[in-house]
Amino acid sequence: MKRVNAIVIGAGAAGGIVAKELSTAGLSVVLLERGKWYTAHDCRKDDLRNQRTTLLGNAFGPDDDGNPRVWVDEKGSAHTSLPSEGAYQNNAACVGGGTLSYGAQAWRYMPQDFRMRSTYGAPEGSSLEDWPVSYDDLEPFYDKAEYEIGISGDYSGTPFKGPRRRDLPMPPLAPNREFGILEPAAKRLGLHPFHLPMARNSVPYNGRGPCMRCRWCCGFACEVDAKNGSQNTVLPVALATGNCELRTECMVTEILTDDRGRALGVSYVDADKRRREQLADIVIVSGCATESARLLLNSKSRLHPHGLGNRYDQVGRHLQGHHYTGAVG
Amino acid sequence: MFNRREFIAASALASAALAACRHSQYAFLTEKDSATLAALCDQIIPADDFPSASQAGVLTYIDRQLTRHYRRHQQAYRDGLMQANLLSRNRFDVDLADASQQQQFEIATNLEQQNRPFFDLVRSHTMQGYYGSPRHGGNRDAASWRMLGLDEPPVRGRAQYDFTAASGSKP
Repeated sequence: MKRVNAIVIGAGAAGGIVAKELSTAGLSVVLLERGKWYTAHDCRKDDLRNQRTTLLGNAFGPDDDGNPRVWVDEKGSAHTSLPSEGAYQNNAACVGGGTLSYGAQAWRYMPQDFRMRSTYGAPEGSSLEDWPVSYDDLEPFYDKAEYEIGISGDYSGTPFKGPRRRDLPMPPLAPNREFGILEPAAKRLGLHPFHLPMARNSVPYNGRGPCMRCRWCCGFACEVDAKNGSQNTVLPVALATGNCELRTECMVTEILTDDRGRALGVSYVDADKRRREQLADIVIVSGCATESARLLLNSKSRLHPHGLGNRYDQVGRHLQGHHYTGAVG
Repeated sequence: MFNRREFIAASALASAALAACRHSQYAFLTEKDSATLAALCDQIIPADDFPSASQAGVLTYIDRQLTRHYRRHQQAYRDGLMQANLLSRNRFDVDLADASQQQQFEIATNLEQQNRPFFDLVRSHTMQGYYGSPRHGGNRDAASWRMLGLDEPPVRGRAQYDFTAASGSKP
Protein backbone atom coordinates (compact mmCIF):
# COMPACT_ATOMS: atom_id res chain seq x y z
CA MET A 1 0.00 0.00 0.00
CA LYS A 2 1.05 3.58 -0.63
CA ARG A 3 3.24 4.98 2.09
CA VAL A 4 1.67 7.98 3.84
CA ASN A 5 2.91 10.71 6.18
CA ALA A 6 1.02 9.52 9.23
CA ILE A 7 -1.01 6.62 10.57
CA VAL A 8 -3.43 7.39 13.38
CA ILE A 9 -4.60 4.36 15.35
CA GLY A 10 -8.10 4.83 16.76
CA ALA A 11 -10.78 7.31 15.62
CA GLY A 12 -11.92 8.33 19.08
CA ALA A 13 -11.55 11.47 21.20
CA ALA A 14 -7.79 11.80 20.65
CA GLY A 15 -7.35 10.16 17.23
CA GLY A 16 -10.03 12.29 15.59
CA ILE A 17 -8.37 15.51 16.73
CA VAL A 18 -4.89 14.39 15.66
CA ALA A 19 -6.18 13.26 12.25
CA LYS A 20 -7.85 16.62 11.75
CA GLU A 21 -4.78 18.65 12.79
CA LEU A 22 -2.42 16.65 10.57
CA SER A 23 -4.65 16.50 7.51
CA THR A 24 -5.53 20.20 7.61
CA ALA A 25 -1.76 20.89 7.85
CA GLY A 26 -1.39 19.07 4.52
CA LEU A 27 -0.09 15.69 5.67
CA SER A 28 -1.46 12.48 4.18
CA VAL A 29 -3.13 10.46 6.93
CA VAL A 30 -4.53 6.95 7.23
CA LEU A 31 -6.90 6.68 10.20
CA LEU A 32 -7.44 3.11 11.34
CA GLU A 33 -10.50 2.29 13.46
CA ARG A 34 -11.36 -1.20 14.72
CA GLY A 35 -15.09 -0.47 14.96
CA LYS A 36 -17.85 0.67 12.62
CA TRP A 37 -19.25 4.07 11.75
CA TYR A 38 -22.74 4.14 13.20
CA THR A 39 -25.54 6.37 11.96
CA ALA A 40 -28.77 7.78 13.36
CA HIS A 41 -30.41 4.44 12.55
CA ASP A 42 -28.29 2.86 15.26
CA CYS A 43 -29.46 5.33 17.92
CA ARG A 44 -31.82 2.85 19.52
CA LYS A 45 -33.40 3.71 22.82
CA ASP A 46 -32.68 0.25 24.22
CA ASP A 47 -32.38 0.06 27.99
CA LEU A 48 -30.83 -3.42 28.01
CA ARG A 49 -28.25 -2.95 25.28
CA ASN A 50 -26.46 0.38 25.12
CA GLN A 51 -23.01 1.58 26.06
CA ARG A 52 -23.79 2.06 29.73
CA THR A 53 -26.26 -0.68 30.59
CA THR A 54 -24.65 -3.61 28.85
CA LEU A 55 -26.79 -6.52 30.07
CA LEU A 56 -27.24 -7.65 26.47
CA GLY A 57 -23.87 -6.37 25.28
CA ASN A 58 -22.33 -3.13 24.08
CA ALA A 59 -24.31 -1.26 21.44
CA PHE A 60 -21.16 0.30 20.00
CA GLY A 61 -18.64 -2.44 20.59
CA PRO A 62 -16.63 -4.36 21.22
CA ASP A 63 -18.70 -7.51 20.89
CA ASP A 64 -18.51 -10.06 23.70
CA ASP A 65 -17.38 -12.70 21.22
CA GLY A 66 -13.67 -12.63 20.47
CA ASN A 67 -12.63 -9.54 22.44
CA PRO A 68 -11.61 -10.64 25.94
CA ARG A 69 -9.23 -8.69 28.15
CA VAL A 70 -6.90 -10.24 30.67
CA TRP A 71 -5.89 -8.18 33.66
CA VAL A 72 -3.68 -9.02 36.60
CA ASP A 73 -4.60 -7.96 40.12
CA GLU A 74 -2.27 -6.79 42.91
CA LYS A 75 -1.65 -10.38 44.00
CA GLY A 76 -0.58 -11.43 40.53
CA SER A 77 -3.70 -13.44 39.61
CA ALA A 78 -4.93 -13.16 36.03
CA HIS A 79 -8.62 -12.50 35.30
CA THR A 80 -10.44 -12.61 31.98
CA SER A 81 -13.23 -10.09 31.40
CA LEU A 82 -15.85 -9.73 28.69
CA PRO A 83 -16.47 -6.32 27.08
CA SER A 84 -19.93 -6.08 28.64
CA GLU A 85 -18.57 -6.62 32.17
CA GLY A 86 -17.59 -3.75 34.44
CA ALA A 87 -14.06 -4.99 35.06
CA TYR A 88 -13.34 -4.64 31.34
CA GLN A 89 -13.48 -0.84 31.72
CA ASN A 90 -14.83 -0.61 28.22
CA ASN A 91 -14.99 2.62 26.30
CA ALA A 92 -16.70 1.72 22.98
CA ALA A 93 -15.04 0.60 19.75
CA CYS A 94 -16.45 2.67 16.91
CA VAL A 95 -15.84 5.82 14.89
CA GLY A 96 -15.95 8.54 17.53
CA GLY A 97 -14.98 6.03 20.24
CA GLY A 98 -16.50 6.93 23.57
CA THR A 99 -17.56 10.34 22.28
CA LEU A 100 -20.39 8.84 20.16
CA SER A 101 -22.34 7.71 23.21
CA TYR A 102 -20.84 9.56 26.19
CA GLY A 103 -22.71 11.76 28.65
CA ALA A 104 -20.60 14.59 27.22
CA GLN A 105 -19.52 16.47 30.32
CA ALA A 106 -16.62 18.60 29.14
CA TRP A 107 -14.63 19.79 32.12
CA ARG A 108 -11.34 21.58 32.16
CA TYR A 109 -8.90 20.47 34.82
CA MET A 110 -8.49 22.97 37.61
CA PRO A 111 -4.97 24.49 37.90
CA GLN A 112 -4.12 22.36 40.97
CA ASP A 113 -5.11 19.15 39.12
CA PHE A 114 -1.83 19.51 37.23
CA ARG A 115 0.11 19.69 40.48
CA MET A 116 -1.57 17.00 42.57
CA ARG A 117 1.66 15.67 44.08
CA SER A 118 3.09 19.04 45.03
CA THR A 119 -0.30 20.30 46.24
CA TYR A 120 -1.50 17.32 48.26
CA GLY A 121 1.53 15.00 48.53
CA ALA A 122 1.73 11.46 47.17
CA PRO A 123 -0.09 8.78 49.17
CA GLU A 124 2.14 5.95 50.43
CA GLY A 125 2.85 3.44 47.67
CA SER A 126 1.24 5.51 44.93
CA SER A 127 2.91 6.60 41.71
CA LEU A 128 1.24 10.03 41.74
CA GLU A 129 3.22 12.67 39.82
CA ASP A 130 2.66 16.26 38.76
CA TRP A 131 1.92 16.76 35.07
CA PRO A 132 4.85 18.05 32.99
CA VAL A 133 2.53 20.80 31.68
CA SER A 134 0.54 23.41 33.57
CA TYR A 135 -2.99 24.73 33.27
CA ASP A 136 -1.61 27.89 31.66
CA ASP A 137 0.23 25.82 29.04
CA LEU A 138 -3.01 24.08 28.09
CA GLU A 139 -5.43 27.00 28.35
CA PRO A 140 -5.16 28.05 24.67
CA PHE A 141 -5.86 24.44 23.64
CA TYR A 142 -8.80 24.07 26.00
CA ASP A 143 -10.21 27.17 24.38
CA LYS A 144 -9.60 25.84 20.87
CA ALA A 145 -11.22 22.48 21.71
CA GLU A 146 -14.23 24.13 23.36
CA TYR A 147 -14.90 26.17 20.24
CA GLU A 148 -14.13 23.47 17.66
CA ILE A 149 -15.97 20.64 19.40
CA GLY A 150 -18.75 22.90 20.70
CA ILE A 151 -19.33 23.21 24.46
CA SER A 152 -22.31 24.73 26.25
CA GLY A 153 -22.39 25.83 29.89
CA ASP A 154 -21.60 28.75 32.18
CA TYR A 155 -18.61 28.83 34.52
CA SER A 156 -19.50 32.21 36.03
CA GLY A 157 -21.09 30.65 39.14
CA THR A 158 -17.94 28.88 40.34
CA PRO A 159 -15.04 30.64 42.07
CA PHE A 160 -12.85 27.53 41.62
CA LYS A 161 -12.28 27.77 37.87
CA GLY A 162 -8.92 28.46 36.29
CA PRO A 163 -8.40 31.70 34.33
CA ARG A 164 -10.11 31.69 30.90
CA ARG A 165 -9.64 33.92 27.88
CA ARG A 166 -13.37 33.92 27.05
CA ASP A 167 -16.71 32.34 27.87
CA LEU A 168 -17.89 29.02 26.42
CA PRO A 169 -19.24 29.26 22.87
CA MET A 170 -22.80 28.25 23.83
CA PRO A 171 -25.08 29.23 26.72
CA PRO A 172 -26.01 26.47 29.18
CA LEU A 173 -28.79 23.99 28.52
CA ALA A 174 -32.12 25.06 29.98
CA PRO A 175 -32.48 24.03 33.63
CA ASN A 176 -34.52 20.91 34.35
CA ARG A 177 -36.86 20.28 37.27
CA GLU A 178 -34.15 18.81 39.50
CA PHE A 179 -32.12 21.99 38.98
CA GLY A 180 -35.02 24.07 40.25
CA ILE A 181 -34.90 22.18 43.55
CA LEU A 182 -31.17 21.52 43.94
CA GLU A 183 -29.74 24.88 42.86
CA PRO A 184 -31.36 27.06 45.55
CA ALA A 185 -30.79 24.33 48.15
CA ALA A 186 -27.07 24.16 47.30
CA LYS A 187 -26.82 27.94 47.55
CA ARG A 188 -28.47 27.90 50.99
CA LEU A 189 -25.73 25.46 52.06
CA GLY A 190 -23.06 27.95 50.92
CA LEU A 191 -22.06 25.87 47.87
CA HIS A 192 -21.44 27.23 44.37
CA PRO A 193 -23.70 25.44 41.88
CA PHE A 194 -23.19 26.38 38.26
CA HIS A 195 -24.12 25.22 34.75
CA LEU A 196 -21.61 22.51 33.97
CA PRO A 197 -19.84 22.39 30.62
CA MET A 198 -21.41 19.92 28.19
CA ALA A 199 -20.36 18.85 24.69
CA ARG A 200 -24.01 19.20 23.75
CA ASN A 201 -25.52 21.94 21.62
CA SER A 202 -27.85 24.20 23.57
CA VAL A 203 -28.38 26.30 20.44
CA PRO A 204 -27.64 25.51 16.77
CA TYR A 205 -23.87 25.20 16.37
CA ASN A 206 -21.49 23.93 13.70
CA GLY A 207 -24.39 23.28 11.35
CA ARG A 208 -26.29 21.00 13.74
CA GLY A 209 -29.32 21.64 15.90
CA PRO A 210 -29.71 21.82 19.68
CA CYS A 211 -30.40 19.05 22.20
CA MET A 212 -34.07 18.05 22.35
CA ARG A 213 -33.81 17.02 26.02
CA CYS A 214 -34.75 13.37 25.61
CA ARG A 215 -34.03 11.00 28.46
CA TRP A 216 -31.55 8.88 26.50
CA CYS A 217 -28.16 10.55 26.51
CA CYS A 218 -25.29 8.88 28.35
CA GLY A 219 -24.73 5.44 26.82
CA PHE A 220 -26.67 6.26 23.67
CA ALA A 221 -25.85 7.90 20.36
CA CYS A 222 -27.76 11.13 19.76
CA GLU A 223 -30.53 10.75 17.23
CA VAL A 224 -30.67 14.47 16.51
CA ASP A 225 -26.86 14.73 16.37
CA ALA A 226 -26.76 17.44 19.04
CA LYS A 227 -24.07 15.69 21.09
CA ASN A 228 -20.60 16.64 19.96
CA GLY A 229 -17.89 14.03 19.48
CA SER A 230 -15.10 13.18 17.09
CA GLN A 231 -17.52 11.60 14.61
CA ASN A 232 -19.47 14.82 13.92
CA THR A 233 -16.89 17.56 14.55
CA VAL A 234 -13.20 16.95 13.80
CA LEU A 235 -13.53 13.85 11.62
CA PRO A 236 -15.74 15.44 8.96
CA VAL A 237 -13.20 18.29 8.80
CA ALA A 238 -10.34 15.82 8.42
CA LEU A 239 -12.12 13.86 5.69
CA ALA A 240 -13.12 17.02 3.82
CA THR A 241 -9.44 17.93 3.32
CA GLY A 242 -9.04 14.94 1.01
CA ASN A 243 -5.83 14.12 2.91
CA CYS A 244 -7.32 11.71 5.43
CA GLU A 245 -8.49 8.20 4.63
CA LEU A 246 -10.59 6.49 7.30
CA ARG A 247 -10.52 2.70 7.29
CA THR A 248 -13.11 1.16 9.59
CA GLU A 249 -13.18 -2.35 11.06
CA CYS A 250 -9.41 -2.41 10.86
CA MET A 251 -7.71 -3.69 14.02
CA VAL A 252 -4.04 -2.84 14.36
CA THR A 253 -2.15 -5.77 15.82
CA GLU A 254 1.45 -4.56 15.76
CA ILE A 255 3.56 -1.49 15.18
CA LEU A 256 6.37 -2.42 12.81
CA THR A 257 9.88 -1.08 13.39
CA ASP A 258 12.96 -0.86 11.18
CA ASP A 259 16.42 -2.21 12.01
CA ARG A 260 17.19 0.94 13.98
CA GLY A 261 14.11 0.38 16.11
CA ARG A 262 12.08 3.26 14.68
CA ALA A 263 8.39 2.96 13.81
CA LEU A 264 7.92 2.06 10.17
CA GLY A 265 4.20 1.39 9.94
CA VAL A 266 1.61 -1.02 11.25
CA SER A 267 0.26 -4.48 10.64
CA TYR A 268 -3.52 -4.75 10.88
CA VAL A 269 -6.46 -7.05 10.21
CA ASP A 270 -9.11 -5.56 7.94
CA ALA A 271 -12.90 -6.04 7.81
CA ASP A 272 -12.47 -9.21 5.72
CA LYS A 273 -10.02 -10.66 8.28
CA ARG A 274 -7.12 -10.19 5.87
CA ARG A 275 -3.75 -9.23 7.27
CA ARG A 276 -2.49 -5.94 5.83
CA GLU A 277 0.41 -3.57 6.29
CA GLN A 278 0.51 0.20 6.05
CA LEU A 279 3.75 2.17 6.10
CA ALA A 280 4.14 5.76 7.27
CA ASP A 281 6.65 8.34 8.51
CA ILE A 282 4.79 8.78 11.79
CA VAL A 283 2.64 6.34 13.79
CA ILE A 284 0.27 7.85 16.36
CA VAL A 285 -1.10 5.49 18.99
CA SER A 286 -4.46 6.79 20.24
CA GLY A 287 -6.42 3.66 21.06
CA CYS A 288 -7.38 4.59 24.64
CA ALA A 289 -5.40 3.65 27.75
CA THR A 290 -5.82 -0.12 27.72
CA GLU A 291 -5.69 -0.88 24.01
CA SER A 292 -2.79 1.52 23.38
CA ALA A 293 -0.80 -0.22 26.10
CA ARG A 294 -1.71 -3.64 24.72
CA LEU A 295 -0.59 -2.63 21.23
CA LEU A 296 2.73 -1.30 22.50
CA LEU A 297 3.33 -4.47 24.53
CA ASN A 298 2.47 -6.63 21.51
CA SER A 299 4.94 -4.73 19.30
CA LYS A 300 8.07 -6.64 20.24
CA SER A 301 11.27 -6.69 18.19
CA ARG A 302 14.98 -7.28 18.65
CA LEU A 303 15.55 -3.72 19.84
CA HIS A 304 12.28 -3.61 21.82
CA PRO A 305 12.15 -7.05 23.46
CA HIS A 306 9.53 -5.98 26.04
CA GLY A 307 7.37 -4.00 23.64
CA LEU A 308 7.62 -0.46 22.30
CA GLY A 309 8.39 2.31 24.74
CA ASN A 310 8.63 -0.19 27.56
CA ARG A 311 12.29 0.05 28.52
CA TYR A 312 11.28 0.84 32.11
CA ASP A 313 8.50 -1.76 32.38
CA GLN A 314 5.84 0.89 32.96
CA VAL A 315 3.61 0.33 29.90
CA GLY A 316 0.29 -1.15 30.93
CA ARG A 317 0.81 -0.33 34.60
CA HIS A 318 -0.85 2.43 36.67
CA LEU A 319 -3.93 2.29 34.45
CA GLN A 320 -7.13 3.55 35.96
CA GLY A 321 -10.58 2.82 34.64
CA HIS A 322 -13.54 5.13 34.77
CA HIS A 323 -14.49 5.35 38.43
CA TYR A 324 -17.87 6.77 39.29
CA THR A 325 -18.78 8.54 42.48
CA GLY A 326 -22.30 9.56 43.25
CA ALA A 327 -24.79 10.38 45.94
CA VAL A 328 -28.53 9.91 46.15
CA GLY A 329 -30.98 11.49 48.52
CA MET B 1 -46.01 -38.28 -2.99
CA PHE B 2 -48.06 -39.25 0.03
CA ASN B 3 -51.62 -40.46 -0.32
CA ARG B 4 -54.06 -39.34 2.32
CA ARG B 5 -53.63 -42.35 4.60
CA GLU B 6 -49.82 -42.18 4.46
CA PHE B 7 -49.95 -38.46 5.09
CA ILE B 8 -52.00 -38.91 8.26
CA ALA B 9 -49.69 -41.68 9.43
CA ALA B 10 -46.62 -39.58 8.71
CA SER B 11 -48.13 -36.60 10.53
CA ALA B 12 -48.90 -38.76 13.54
CA LEU B 13 -45.35 -40.07 13.55
CA ALA B 14 -43.97 -36.58 13.23
CA SER B 15 -46.11 -35.33 16.12
CA ALA B 16 -45.00 -38.27 18.23
CA ALA B 17 -41.39 -37.54 17.40
CA LEU B 18 -41.86 -33.87 18.27
CA ALA B 19 -43.54 -34.75 21.54
CA ALA B 20 -40.75 -37.19 22.33
CA CYS B 21 -38.05 -34.56 22.12
CA ARG B 22 -40.43 -32.21 23.90
CA HIS B 23 -39.95 -29.32 21.54
CA SER B 24 -41.88 -26.31 22.57
CA GLN B 25 -42.66 -22.89 21.19
CA TYR B 26 -39.26 -21.89 22.56
CA ALA B 27 -35.83 -22.23 21.01
CA PHE B 28 -33.94 -23.42 24.08
CA LEU B 29 -36.49 -24.27 26.75
CA THR B 30 -38.34 -27.58 26.52
CA GLU B 31 -42.06 -27.71 27.25
CA LYS B 32 -41.34 -28.89 30.76
CA ASP B 33 -38.56 -26.32 31.31
CA SER B 34 -40.84 -23.52 30.27
CA ALA B 35 -43.61 -24.61 32.67
CA THR B 36 -41.12 -24.79 35.56
CA LEU B 37 -39.56 -21.45 34.68
CA ALA B 38 -42.98 -19.81 34.32
CA ALA B 39 -43.87 -20.96 37.85
CA LEU B 40 -40.60 -19.58 39.19
CA CYS B 41 -40.81 -16.25 37.35
CA ASP B 42 -44.41 -15.74 38.48
CA GLN B 43 -43.38 -16.17 42.10
CA ILE B 44 -40.91 -13.33 41.50
CA ILE B 45 -43.42 -11.08 39.68
CA PRO B 46 -46.99 -12.35 40.27
CA ALA B 47 -50.03 -10.93 38.50
CA ASP B 48 -51.96 -8.13 40.19
CA ASP B 49 -53.58 -5.23 38.33
CA PHE B 50 -50.84 -5.83 35.79
CA PRO B 51 -49.65 -9.06 34.13
CA SER B 52 -47.32 -11.54 35.81
CA ALA B 53 -43.80 -12.16 34.53
CA SER B 54 -44.80 -15.04 32.27
CA GLN B 55 -47.91 -13.21 31.03
CA ALA B 56 -45.69 -10.27 30.06
CA GLY B 57 -43.41 -12.44 27.92
CA VAL B 58 -40.52 -12.91 30.32
CA LEU B 59 -40.06 -16.49 29.13
CA THR B 60 -39.76 -15.35 25.55
CA TYR B 61 -37.12 -12.88 26.68
CA ILE B 62 -35.11 -15.43 28.67
CA ASP B 63 -35.40 -18.12 26.01
CA ARG B 64 -34.27 -15.79 23.27
CA GLN B 65 -31.28 -14.56 25.26
CA LEU B 66 -30.27 -18.12 26.19
CA THR B 67 -29.65 -18.72 22.50
CA ARG B 68 -27.91 -15.38 22.06
CA HIS B 69 -26.19 -13.18 24.61
CA TYR B 70 -26.79 -15.52 27.57
CA ARG B 71 -25.59 -18.73 25.90
CA ARG B 72 -23.11 -19.04 28.73
CA HIS B 73 -26.00 -19.52 31.18
CA GLN B 74 -27.59 -22.50 29.37
CA GLN B 75 -26.15 -25.10 31.71
CA ALA B 76 -27.14 -23.09 34.78
CA TYR B 77 -30.73 -23.04 33.53
CA ARG B 78 -30.77 -26.77 32.68
CA ASP B 79 -29.43 -27.71 36.11
CA GLY B 80 -31.37 -25.10 38.04
CA LEU B 81 -34.76 -25.92 36.56
CA MET B 82 -34.17 -29.64 37.14
CA GLN B 83 -33.25 -28.86 40.74
CA ALA B 84 -36.40 -26.77 41.22
CA ASN B 85 -38.54 -29.64 39.99
CA LEU B 86 -36.69 -32.13 42.15
CA LEU B 87 -37.23 -29.97 45.24
CA SER B 88 -40.93 -29.80 44.43
CA ARG B 89 -41.33 -33.54 43.82
CA ASN B 90 -39.39 -34.46 46.97
CA ARG B 91 -41.48 -32.17 49.08
CA PHE B 92 -44.93 -32.13 47.45
CA ASP B 93 -44.88 -35.10 45.05
CA VAL B 94 -45.67 -32.87 42.04
CA ASP B 95 -43.70 -30.90 39.44
CA LEU B 96 -43.26 -27.26 40.35
CA ALA B 97 -45.67 -26.19 37.60
CA ASP B 98 -48.43 -28.35 39.12
CA ALA B 99 -47.90 -27.23 42.70
CA SER B 100 -50.17 -24.72 44.41
CA GLN B 101 -49.19 -21.05 44.67
CA GLN B 102 -48.20 -21.51 48.32
CA GLN B 103 -46.12 -24.58 47.47
CA GLN B 104 -44.44 -22.78 44.56
CA PHE B 105 -43.56 -19.93 46.89
CA GLU B 106 -41.97 -22.36 49.34
CA ILE B 107 -39.95 -24.03 46.61
CA ALA B 108 -38.80 -20.67 45.24
CA THR B 109 -37.67 -19.66 48.74
CA ASN B 110 -35.98 -23.01 49.19
CA LEU B 111 -34.23 -22.72 45.83
CA GLU B 112 -32.97 -19.26 46.75
CA GLN B 113 -31.27 -20.79 49.80
CA GLN B 114 -29.91 -23.89 48.06
CA ASN B 115 -28.80 -22.41 44.74
CA ARG B 116 -28.37 -18.69 45.19
CA PRO B 117 -26.45 -18.10 41.93
CA PHE B 118 -29.24 -19.63 39.84
CA PHE B 119 -32.02 -17.92 41.75
CA ASP B 120 -30.25 -14.55 41.37
CA LEU B 121 -29.84 -15.22 37.66
CA VAL B 122 -33.55 -15.94 37.22
CA ARG B 123 -34.49 -12.94 39.33
CA SER B 124 -32.36 -10.50 37.32
CA HIS B 125 -33.40 -11.99 34.00
CA THR B 126 -37.05 -11.81 35.07
CA MET B 127 -36.68 -8.14 35.92
CA GLN B 128 -34.83 -7.43 32.68
CA GLY B 129 -37.55 -9.15 30.67
CA TYR B 130 -40.35 -7.47 32.59
CA TYR B 131 -39.02 -3.91 32.69
CA GLY B 132 -36.70 -3.82 29.66
CA SER B 133 -37.42 -2.84 26.08
CA PRO B 134 -40.20 -4.90 24.42
CA ARG B 135 -37.76 -5.25 21.50
CA HIS B 136 -36.19 -8.24 23.23
CA GLY B 137 -39.35 -10.26 23.63
CA GLY B 138 -40.37 -9.34 27.18
CA ASN B 139 -42.47 -6.45 28.55
CA ARG B 140 -45.35 -7.41 26.25
CA ASP B 141 -47.46 -4.41 25.22
CA ALA B 142 -45.10 -2.33 27.38
CA ALA B 143 -47.10 -3.50 30.40
CA SER B 144 -44.53 -2.48 33.00
CA TRP B 145 -44.02 0.92 31.40
CA ARG B 146 -47.76 1.56 31.51
CA MET B 147 -47.66 0.53 35.17
CA LEU B 148 -44.90 3.10 35.79
CA GLY B 149 -46.63 5.78 33.72
CA LEU B 150 -43.90 5.86 31.07
CA ASP B 151 -44.59 6.45 27.42
CA GLU B 152 -44.30 3.91 24.66
CA PRO B 153 -42.55 4.72 22.40
CA PRO B 154 -40.26 6.43 24.93
CA VAL B 155 -39.66 9.74 23.19
CA ARG B 156 -40.83 12.40 25.59
CA GLY B 157 -38.17 14.61 27.20
CA ARG B 158 -37.63 14.31 30.94
CA ALA B 159 -38.44 17.94 31.62
CA GLN B 160 -42.03 17.38 30.55
CA TYR B 161 -42.93 14.93 33.32
CA ASP B 162 -44.61 16.33 36.37
CA PHE B 163 -43.08 14.31 39.19
CA THR B 164 -44.88 16.32 41.83
CA ALA B 165 -48.31 15.06 40.74
CA ALA B 166 -49.66 11.59 41.49
CA SER B 167 -47.28 8.89 40.31
CA GLY B 168 -47.37 8.23 36.62
CA SER B 169 -49.57 11.15 35.65
CA LYS B 170 -48.67 13.27 32.69
CA PRO B 171 -49.14 16.97 32.11
